[in-house]
Amino acid sequence: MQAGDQEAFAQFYDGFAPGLFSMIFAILRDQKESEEVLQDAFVQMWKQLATYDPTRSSLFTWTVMISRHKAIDRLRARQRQTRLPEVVVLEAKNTGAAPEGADSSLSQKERERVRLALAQLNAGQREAIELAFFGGLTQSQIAEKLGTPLGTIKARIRRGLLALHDFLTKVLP
Amino acid sequence: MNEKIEELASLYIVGLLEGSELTGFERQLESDPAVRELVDRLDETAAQLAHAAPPRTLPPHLRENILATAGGRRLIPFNRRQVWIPWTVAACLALFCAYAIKDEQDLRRRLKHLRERDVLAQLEVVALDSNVQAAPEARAVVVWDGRKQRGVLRVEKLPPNDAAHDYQLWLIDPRYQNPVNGGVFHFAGKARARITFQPAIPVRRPRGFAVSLEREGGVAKAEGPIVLEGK
Repeated sequence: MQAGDQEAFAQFYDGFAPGLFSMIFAILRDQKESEEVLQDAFVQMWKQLATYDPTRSSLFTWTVMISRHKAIDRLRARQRQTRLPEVVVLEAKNTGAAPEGADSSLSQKERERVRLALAQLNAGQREAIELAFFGGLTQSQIAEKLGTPLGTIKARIRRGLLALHDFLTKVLP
Repeated sequence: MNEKIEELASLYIVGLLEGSELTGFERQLESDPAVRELVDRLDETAAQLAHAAPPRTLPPHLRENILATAGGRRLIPFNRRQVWIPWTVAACLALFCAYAIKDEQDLRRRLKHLRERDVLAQLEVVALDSNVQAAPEARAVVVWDGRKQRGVLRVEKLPPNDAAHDYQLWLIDPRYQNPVNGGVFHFAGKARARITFQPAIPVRRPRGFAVSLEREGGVAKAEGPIVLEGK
């Protein structure tokens, strides 16, 4: 390994790992599994970095999507084993959060921005999107969990994502 | 874009499409650029949801484990296969390349004017001056989009690098102790070159940019002479 590559990888890790780990933990709610998934994700990202296409997405989006995919896969494998789908909403996950000061001001600003964007959605849209993104549930499981027709769930996710997009790109870009 | 396509795109992004619905949509994605563009845009939005996760402290041992496990691969910072140049950046480069090299004062007036325009609200535009005595006319312009974490470097009249050396771009971000590696590039026998770049780690408001001449393949920290710099 060249020294420059190791340093670059360390910089890459330091830049992205804290946020990705928080997201993975929000999905899995298990420390050990979250650590394993973060490690798997970084190995994959590092292997595939040369194939990353900046015309398609930002580097941040690319890292989030790979890490989330791995976390959801792990969650669904766990659910298949236990046959007890874990259904969570974001508020219920805030256990064992980082101590005050553990987060950078930049991350705090980003989080506040997304919090404001989510606050623009109605409760049904917000709940459907959070369950879809963090919950690892299927369409039918989300509908069942929320006691809402499947068509309504699909529409809420569509409207919610489009509203988030508008807010994040036009109101708080 | 009709609502059905928007719905399929939204469900696809959060991983809720399955079976024939998924394969059908993926075929559409391959054949319809407008659908691809919609998915890419919504992908960026959905990724922002990661910020909604309550922050967790990373276990210190994890860093060493992951660096030891994953670090043995060579990084290619520049994506040489792709060209990224949105029209705003293209317009900037055209303007700067027309003005920058000829008249420094005029360049700075143009910079100020462009920065005041809304279209450039997301962009940083920096002119880099030569530090090379043998090539005082060497110049470069960086157009940097912090939100997309991408940039374009336009270089002119730089001395050609030999096979044992590469030029390397650096982004100066006060959040980091050392300048951030923006990637290496060759400049051989050309009057000018345009290079798209993306730093290995996130950079928000760079205080400046620099180009150094390094050994082939680049280095983790700048070692060679700084040939171009600007703030």
